[in-house]
Amino acid sequence: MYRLFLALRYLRSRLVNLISVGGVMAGVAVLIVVVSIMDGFQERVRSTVRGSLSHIILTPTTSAADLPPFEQLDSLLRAQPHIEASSPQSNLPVFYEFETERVSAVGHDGMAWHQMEMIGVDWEKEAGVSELPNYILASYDAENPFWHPLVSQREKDTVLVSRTFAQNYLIGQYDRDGNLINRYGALKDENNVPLKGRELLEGCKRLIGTELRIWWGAVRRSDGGDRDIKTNSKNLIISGVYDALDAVDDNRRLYCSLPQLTRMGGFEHSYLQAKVRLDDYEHAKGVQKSLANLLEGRFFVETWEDKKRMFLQAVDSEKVLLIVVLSFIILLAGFVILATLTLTVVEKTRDIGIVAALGATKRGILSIFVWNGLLIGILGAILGLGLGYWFTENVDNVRAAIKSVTGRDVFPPNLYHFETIPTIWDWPSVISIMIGAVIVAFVAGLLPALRAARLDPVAALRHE
Amino acid sequence: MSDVTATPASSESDPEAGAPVILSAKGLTKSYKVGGTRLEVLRGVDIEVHEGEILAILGTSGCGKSTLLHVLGWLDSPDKGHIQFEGKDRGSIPGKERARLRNDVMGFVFQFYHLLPEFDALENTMMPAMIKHGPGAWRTQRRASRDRAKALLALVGLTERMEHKPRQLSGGERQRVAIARALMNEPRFLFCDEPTGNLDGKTAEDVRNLLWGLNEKQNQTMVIVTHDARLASQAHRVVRLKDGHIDEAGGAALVQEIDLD
Repeated sequence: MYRLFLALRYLRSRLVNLISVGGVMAGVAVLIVVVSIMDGFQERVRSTVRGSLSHIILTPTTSAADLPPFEQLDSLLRAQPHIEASSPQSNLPVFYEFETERVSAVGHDGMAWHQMEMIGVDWEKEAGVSELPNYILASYDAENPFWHPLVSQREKDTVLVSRTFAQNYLIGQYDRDGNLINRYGALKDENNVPLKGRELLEGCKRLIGTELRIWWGAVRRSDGGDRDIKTNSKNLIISGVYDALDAVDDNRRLYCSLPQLTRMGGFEHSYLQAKVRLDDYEHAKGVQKSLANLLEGRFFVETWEDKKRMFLQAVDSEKVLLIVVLSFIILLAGFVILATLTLTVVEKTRDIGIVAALGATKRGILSIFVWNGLLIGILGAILGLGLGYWFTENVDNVRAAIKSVTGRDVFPPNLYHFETIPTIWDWPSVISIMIGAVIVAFVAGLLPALRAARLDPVAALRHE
Repeated sequence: MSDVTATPASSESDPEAGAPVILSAKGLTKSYKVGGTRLEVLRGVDIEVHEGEILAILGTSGCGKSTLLHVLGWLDSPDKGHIQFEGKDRGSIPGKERARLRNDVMGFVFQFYHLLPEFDALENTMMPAMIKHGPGAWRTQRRASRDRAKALLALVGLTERMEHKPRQLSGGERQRVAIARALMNEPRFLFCDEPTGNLDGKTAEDVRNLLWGLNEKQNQTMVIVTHDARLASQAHRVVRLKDGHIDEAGGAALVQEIDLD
């Protein structure tokens, strides 16, 4: 009984132990916060990326003649277990042409190109496989954001643009009445600040119906079968604005209807990809395998993680790196525990002799100081849990507080495109951080404890 | 108080006569390395302790009294020789069991009190009981131990001082706490190392009276080492430690000398 009793008293009577407790607390709290934010960030990024990519992507490997009509493929796919929906898609690299004062690859006549990808989708099927329909900010026709009345009037084609693209690249855009929208870019105010809320929606409405010019190469085959690429350009009518919260990809993606893209690109295949949505992404690997067997090499089968492997790995390794670096705080706290307990043992040498004389075993003396270290670890871990929880729950308030003090936003929304800092409270991670801290404290306490247990009680009694 | 004085009192006359030997040592030697030279402190000590007696070991400072006491009390091990407690040899008892015997059977009173500074008088007194009982047993023993510690502190006259830390107590008070602590687990022996050596005349007398009272009332066996011939002279038996040997006659002669004064 005396072991815990002495350990508690030594802990309480030494202020320096509070520093150790504080160190463990800080380490545990910081790790918990960082893991929560990184988990949240990772999940948000995954859902964003997955949003436009769907779970499994099939790419045909056959000639256009052998390509099954999509309806046929769709019914085949949906007969498979775990598959909920599928949707066709085609992609076409395009150049968006815009005015600039700078010299560019296009020449020095005041125009420049921005390389983009035009994605053709079947709007009715798209909702089944991706989040894109949920990302529509504004459109002329809520049912079909690719439709605009000018299409039928002037035989034009339409395009769905992203908010980020509009803000960064739609410079010198004129509205339908011929007025310049904003010389810094659409969907921004006079001070070059992105619009928000109601103003953003108003801005989108003003943008819809305006035109943007794109260039692309369409493949043509001569009668002899030789391939030739013909350059085309066309003004497209903006029929809607979306915001997929992906700063990088949104800048490069334009959407249009699949038949329009097939026509523009001169594709022989009626679709270049089939996107598949599963009931649960957990089954992706199994479905991937069974689909590869089922389709007998006519399609290349990938999961969205295969497509985005590098990116996901980058996010993941960033998280691991942060955890490794921040674990050093706990390790440092371990060294503080080691130092203070070593001092305590030296200082308490005579007491150790006394309890030995009173009948304490070597094991008993060992456990006094092991308990001392453990108590520091346990106390620090519990306080760190509390602090970490509070910080995670109030992370946006903390962010606001930091901004008001330093004038710097630690999580700028125009960079990450999340209005709030995403967090996920994952108990297994939190518990393992706490257990890790307690283990560090235990090991740090063990060395001084062994030293105490090895003391000769008679010599210790004489110690002044 | 009843539990403190539970041990039956001995007969008034000559308590050690015919009483069984409960601790005996034969041929104890012990040496230390000091600097480069080996210092032989004990050179073959033979000694017996009878139940219920007060045995004084008299000797000048630095003659090895404390070492002898530590060896007899199993705090330290002899280089050679045997110590037997109730017929059991020290060498045949494993370390863990030795620690238990030290806790349960032996009580120590040191010249410098050796109280734990972070704990108050009551907690210091209870410490041997805490060491004796594991966390499970402590739950049932706590109240009884507390009551016994309070009774012991009352016995040594410190009822008012129970919640004082050692630094708030005088030398005499600290020594009385140390005595109460030594008695906590009802030890068979009390080993006292210069129990009055650090105290002034009046306080020393109080502590002496306390110890002798314990012997009279509870038949407490005591081994006292001291350089104070006056204190030694009041023991039932006095031996003298000189040149690493026990000199029975020397002790008696010295005592006679003092009695003549």
